[in-house]
This record gives sequence, C-alpha cells and structure tokens, in this order.
Amino acid sequence: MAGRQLTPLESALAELRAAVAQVSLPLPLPGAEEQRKVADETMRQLDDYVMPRLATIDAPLLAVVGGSTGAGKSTLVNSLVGREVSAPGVIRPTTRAPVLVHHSSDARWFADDRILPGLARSTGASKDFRSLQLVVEDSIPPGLAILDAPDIDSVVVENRQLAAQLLAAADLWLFVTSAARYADAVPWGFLRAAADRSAAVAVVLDRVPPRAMSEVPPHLGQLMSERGLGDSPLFAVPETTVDSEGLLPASAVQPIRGWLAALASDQASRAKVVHQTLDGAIAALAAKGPELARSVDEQLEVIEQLRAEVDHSYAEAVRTVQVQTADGTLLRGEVLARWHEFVGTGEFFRALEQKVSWLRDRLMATLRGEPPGAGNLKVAVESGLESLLREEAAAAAERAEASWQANAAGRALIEDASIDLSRSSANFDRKAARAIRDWQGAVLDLVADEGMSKRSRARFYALGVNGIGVALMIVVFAHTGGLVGAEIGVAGGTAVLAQRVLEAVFGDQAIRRLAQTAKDDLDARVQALLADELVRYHMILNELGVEPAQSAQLRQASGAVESARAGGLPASADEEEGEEAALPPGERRLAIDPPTVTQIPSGEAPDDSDIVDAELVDQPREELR
Amino acid sequence: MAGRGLGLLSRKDASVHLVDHLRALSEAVELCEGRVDSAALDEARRVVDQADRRLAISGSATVVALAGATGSGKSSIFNAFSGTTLATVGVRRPTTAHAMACSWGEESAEDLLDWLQIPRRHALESDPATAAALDGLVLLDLPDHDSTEVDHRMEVDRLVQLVDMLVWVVDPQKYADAAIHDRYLKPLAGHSDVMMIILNQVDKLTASQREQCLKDLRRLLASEGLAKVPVIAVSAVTGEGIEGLRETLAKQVAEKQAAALRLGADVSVAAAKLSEASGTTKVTPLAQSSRPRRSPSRQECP
Repeated sequence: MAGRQLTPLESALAELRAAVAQVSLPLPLPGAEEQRKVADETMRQLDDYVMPRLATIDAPLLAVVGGSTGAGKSTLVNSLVGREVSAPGVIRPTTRAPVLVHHSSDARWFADDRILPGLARSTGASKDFRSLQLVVEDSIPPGLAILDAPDIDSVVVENRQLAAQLLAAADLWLFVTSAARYADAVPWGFLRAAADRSAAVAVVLDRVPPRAMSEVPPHLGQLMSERGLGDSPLFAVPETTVDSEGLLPASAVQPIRGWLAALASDQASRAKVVHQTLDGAIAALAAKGPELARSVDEQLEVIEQLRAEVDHSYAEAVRTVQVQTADGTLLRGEVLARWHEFVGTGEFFRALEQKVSWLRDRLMATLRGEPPGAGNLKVAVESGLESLLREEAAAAAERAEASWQANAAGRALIEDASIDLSRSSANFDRKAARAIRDWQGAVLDLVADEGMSKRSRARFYALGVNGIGVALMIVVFAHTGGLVGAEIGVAGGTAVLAQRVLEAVFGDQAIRRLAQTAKDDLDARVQALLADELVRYHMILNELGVEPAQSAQLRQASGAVESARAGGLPASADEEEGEEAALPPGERRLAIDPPTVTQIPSGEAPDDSDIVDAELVDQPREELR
Repeated sequence: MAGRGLGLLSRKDASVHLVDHLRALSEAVELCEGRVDSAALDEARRVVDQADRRLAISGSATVVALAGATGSGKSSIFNAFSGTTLATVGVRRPTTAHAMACSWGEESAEDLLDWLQIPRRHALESDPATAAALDGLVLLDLPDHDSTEVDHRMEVDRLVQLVDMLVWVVDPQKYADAAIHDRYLKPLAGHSDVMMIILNQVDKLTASQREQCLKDLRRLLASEGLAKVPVIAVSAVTGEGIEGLRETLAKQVAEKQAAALRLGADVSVAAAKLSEASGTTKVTPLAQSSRPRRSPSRQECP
C-alpha cells in the first residue's frame, strides 16, 4: 500500500479503526462483553477485508463457503474444484485449517498478507487452526477464489470464531446448509447478519433426500424471503452417494459451478457483487461507531457514578471531622481530665459555672509560671484527634467500599484491586499522627507569633507557648457559634475557661481570629489527609482508561466514514467510470443476478419428485408458498 | 453427613435418602436467605419445590423424554418405539412444535401429564407382552432445541428440568453441535445416571464410519464429564437398536428409580451451587457449614 495516496474513505476508515482500537469497555456492564466483541470484529474486518479490498478493488472475488458442521461443505468444495482439496469425514467438526483454492494466475493476490493478515499461509495440509492453506487449481476460473471455512456451530469454539472471521472477509458467501439443518437457529443468525449488512449471499441446500426435494427447497426459499434474503440465489443439491474420490456427481454441482464461472467471467457482475458486499460492510462498520460510543458513554456514566459515591463518602468524613472538632465532642475523657490537671483542681472547674469572672482572677494566679500539665494535655489532644480521624477515615473507606459493592461494576473493581478498599491505607495512622503534630506545631507557632507582638507579654511568658497553644486548641474544639456560653455544659465550660485564659493574654478580638485561623488550618490538613485516601479510588477509576474523548472520536470517525462512503467506492479498472461512480451507494446494492442457471419453472416443482440434479430454485416464491 | 451427596448416587435405593437430602437443602435455603446470591438460592428453592410436587404425584411412573436437534429423528424414534404413527414425521424443519406424550400401563398418568403441562397425550393399549415390560413408562417426544423457533427451545428448557430421564437423540450430522453440548449436555454433567444418548440414522453410515462416529461421540462426551452415559446406535428407519432401547427403558421402568435419581442429582447440583455461592471456594458439603447454627433447633425436635 506504500506510496499510494489514501482515498478519503480509506483515511476515514483508518481513523475509525484507531478510534475503535482505543475502546476497552473494562466494566462488566450489561452488553459490554458483546460490544467488546463488536470492537474486535470491527477491527478484524477492517484489516482482513475492507482495507485490502478498497486498496485492490480488482483483486479476485473471494467466495467463502461457510455453514454448519456436517452439512457437507468440504464435499461441496471438492466437487466444485473437481478433486479433493479439503478432507471430508464423518467426525465432526471436519475442516481444520481453512483451504483457499485459487487459479494459478491469481497467486499474487493471496500469497502475501494482503487479506486476512492474521492467518499464516501454508501450501500443504495443516492442522494449525490459524493458518490458511493455499491450493492452486486451474479448474476454477481466474478472478475467483474459493475459501472453505470451518463450521459455524460445532463444539469447537476456535472453529466458530474463525468461521465468523472468514465470513466477514468474504466478497460472496456461499452458505451451505442441509435438509436436516435449514431451520437451525445458528446458521440463521449468520444469514440475518449477512442480510443486515447486505452482503452477497448464495445459499446451497445440501443433502436433500429425493422425497424432500419438492418440499424443503421451496420452504427454505420462503424462509429466505421472509428474512430479507429474497434476492439471493438458492441451490438445492440432492443427497447422492459420492464417487470413489469422494466427489458428488458433476451434474449435482454443475449449476453452482456454472453460476460461479459466469460470475467470475463477467467483469461487471463481479464488480457488482464486490461493491455490494463492500459497501454493505462499510455501512455496517460505520453504524458500529455510535453503538460503541454509546457503550463507552455508559461506562463513563458508571465510572462517574462510582466516583461520585466515593467522593461523597469522603466528603462526609471531612464534614464530620470538621463538625466534631468544633462542637465540643473532643472535650471529653482524656482531654478533659488533662485539662483539669492543667488548670488545677477539679474544684476550680466545678465552681466555674457560677463564678466565671471571679475565677479568671484566681485562674491567672494559679497558672502563673509554665504549668506542668501542658505537655500531657497536648498529647491527650493529639490522641483524641487522631482517633477521631482514624475512625472517620475507616468509616469513609467502609462506606465507599459498600457503595461499590452495591453494583456489579464496583464489585469487579474491588475484586481486581491490589489493595483492600474497605479500610484506610496501611500508613494512614502514621500520616494522621503526623498531620496532627504538624497542626499542633502550627498552632504553637501561631500563638508564638501573636505573643511576641502583644502588650501582655508578661502573662504570655507566664503561661508559656505550650500552655497558650493547648488553650487555643481547646477553644477551637468548642468553637461552634463563636463565643460559648456557660450554659452549654461541661465541654462548653472547659472552653470558656480556656477562652478567658486567652483573653487575658491576647484580648477578645485576637482570640476569635486566632481560633478561626487554627480551625481553618486543621480543616485544610484533614481535608488533604482524606483526599490522599480518596485518591486510591480515583486511581482505580482512572486506570480503566475510559475517556469522554473516545466516544466523541468514535462518533466523529463514524460520521466521516458515512460521508466518505456517500462519495462512492473506488471503481474497478474495467468499469465505466462516469455514471457508475455517480450512483448513490444505496442504489449500488444490486442483487446478484443468477445469470445462466437452469431454473425450475415454479409450476412444475411440486410434482417433480424424482429430481436428482441440483436445481436453482428461483424467485417466484410467493407462488410456491 | 459429609460426603452424602456423592453417596446418594451409589446407593441402591435412591429414594431412601432423597427425603433427608431435600429437607437438608430446604433448611440450607432458609439459612442462606438474604445472605447468598439469589440465583443459586432460587435454583435450590425450585429444586425443593419441584421434588415435592413430583414425589406427591406418582412415585411409580417413569417419565422419559426424547430430546434433540431438529432433524435428528426424535419423532421417528418415538413412532418406531411405540409402534404407532402418533408423532408427525416430516422433511420440513422444524417438524414437532409441541411435546407429545405416550403412556404404557394400567395406571393413569393424567396427573403427571397435567403437572408437566402436556396436552397431547395417548394411553397405549398394545399387546400384553411388551406392555407388561413397559408398565409405568411415559414417553415424551419433545420439540427441537436448535431451530429458529424460540418457543420450541423454551418448551425444551422447561421439560428438561422436569422429566425423570433424558434420552438425547443425535445424528451423524449434528452430534457435535454446540447447541446441544453447551446448552444442555455440559450443564447436565451431574445427571449422567438418568441420561442416555442415541446416535440415530446409523443406516446412513458404513460400518467403519459408524465406528469412527461413535468413538468420536464418546470421546466428546467423556471430555464433558459424561463418560458414564450410555451411547447406543439406532436407526429408526431400519429398526436397528430400537429393541435395545426398549430393554434399557424397560429396566429403568421396572426399577422405578429414575425419578428419585434425577431429583437426587438435582439436589446435589443445587446444593453444590449454593455451597459455592455461600463463599467457600471449595465445595464443601452443606450440612457441615450449617451445623453450628442448626444445633439448637435440632434439640427441640426429637
């Protein structure tokens, strides 16, 4: 392909391929698995068939013989070719490595990896699934190659996948079914897909017992008409014994062989078939883009929902810590006991509620000199805050995990995660302790700075930086609503006492400001600490690699393919460029004319019960019904 | 109680322990309620329910279903076996749209067939010699499971769960279809005691082809854990193998074990699923995991 300028359609398709290649759909949402498969098939069909076909529009027509296991594909191919090229047998499934039969003059088209680049080429019989056995056979016409695909419905999964891949790469499907199988669901799934993308299909009804000849082919014809394949030719091959070489009598396959030969020799009808299938395939591929984009959007939506859930959970933790470090909750137990120790005996404290102002004087007297309990109180505050943080972080992790557990996508993420998402990270306790110590350090710095500039430096020194610092922390912990009244109880009382102490040092205004600054600092530190925890969940979501740009690209690329397709497919060399190329794509999907085949006049068919030759059952199916 | 699930299938009389097992399973269902994945729970509940109803209706009749793909020859075998032309045989696919039943013996199978919801039914009054051997047999001809008719598949799915014994009819063209193996045979690996496979249309094969075909079919079944399932070659056209089928079914009917064996297998499978769903990666016997919780109630009822 090197050195050749890509047409707009080709570059649009290349863009579509690039966009599809990015789609990963990692979350197990309903339909995601199918869409992943769609993405794989889309890329594969582009590589295997669409791009090479667009680049070499004059390459031979590739007819893929596909169908059910046991329907007689191999025998049919052998009989069409005139010698055994594909080994038939009673063991199901029969065909292993697919066999591609072509004329010697067409060798250059198939020897390299122009089409089906994923399959290795071999010239001998191969048991390797993923290889393509090339057979040169001059009894088939030049300009036509026949590919015997594996079955589409046996227990061997690889066969089914390969068959689907090969059929997707066909210019023409030669679909083989049998009298016992023609109503099977699996083949009809394929046929419906072919009809949907208007691929050129010819159906071979194999192994028809003579007594069923008058009933089954018309019934199949009717089914085909009902399912959008009314224009496809249908060949009925009677059940006969094979000769010593395992071939059907020439008369049985002559109609099919003749039809294929006519197709190969007539440049115009061959180009029509190629165009019909190619155009249908491109249209179907373009339609896949928005479909995949929708799946990507669905994934994004779920990812955003999962993100919102964990965000919410941690936001709640931040809020809880914010509230509980301000509403007096912390002023209990150890902190309270140490505060009592710090300010003197319990009596002072109990008297406080009645005699706050009197107490202030007494207190100042008591506190003169660096009070011994400041260190203990600081430690108590530290451990009180630490356990609050630990508790809330643990609760947030638990909530986050529970919210993910509630849906399948979240469950899958939890299962795949390398860390335990139901608890805080392993070093959280250490980080929390450090954050609190840092905050305490910052509070001490704050009061130290403030103290240096204050008039009441004497009192400041009397209490010491530590004493004032812890008193400020106590004020912060009961900061709700600004100044606290004595009526809000013990905790409030504690804070009032601390406030009075500080007022004596800094004055009323400064205290409020200092408390606010310290509180804001604490909140910021808590938020940063919990944000670090939250990042673990975000990382998991980000690593999924689903981005809004992907769906936009898919839609855009699909649109580009659609509009480039409207510009027409490349014309074949022999084609009259002018009017043919001007046809809109829809009108190019012309039916394959079954040109030179004998046809059963519909009136004769029912009583003609001893037909042994293959017949082309022709269209007036309404009359046959 | 550990290991009983395995023991069940080797006991001579399956029904003796079936009742115990059912009780244990329904107890397990109660205990797992709200704790375990609901799919496994629903399945276990369905099994308990179905067993109750099946045992309540008739213990002595044996319901055998002929199942298989379209065109394999279920109806032809049905006709050849019953010596009738009750089932419609045709070249148009799919032929059989509704299940049909045929019963042998004095006892009425009406209740059973009402439960199975099969309206098309026939009581055979054939000659006493064969009738005596098959007394108590109810033979069903099922629709196909692989045609484009989804209704047929649903009907097969429904009846496959209910019948006592399954005879899968395959043919040389279709014996390796994913439709039958992936959808039915593999999931029913625990039911090998109440299944058999018939390779029909062997008249179309030469002796050596038949040998190859049977060998490959057995290999395939063995790879799916169904090595124990008997495989017989039959031709509905020539009548070959029909007698062998008759003998096999007569033996099953006389033993009257198929229903209990089938339900036993259902219980084992459901219990294993439930046990797996309750979180143990290894499948442990149910009774073991629920014993501690159960002990108080045990003491109350002697």
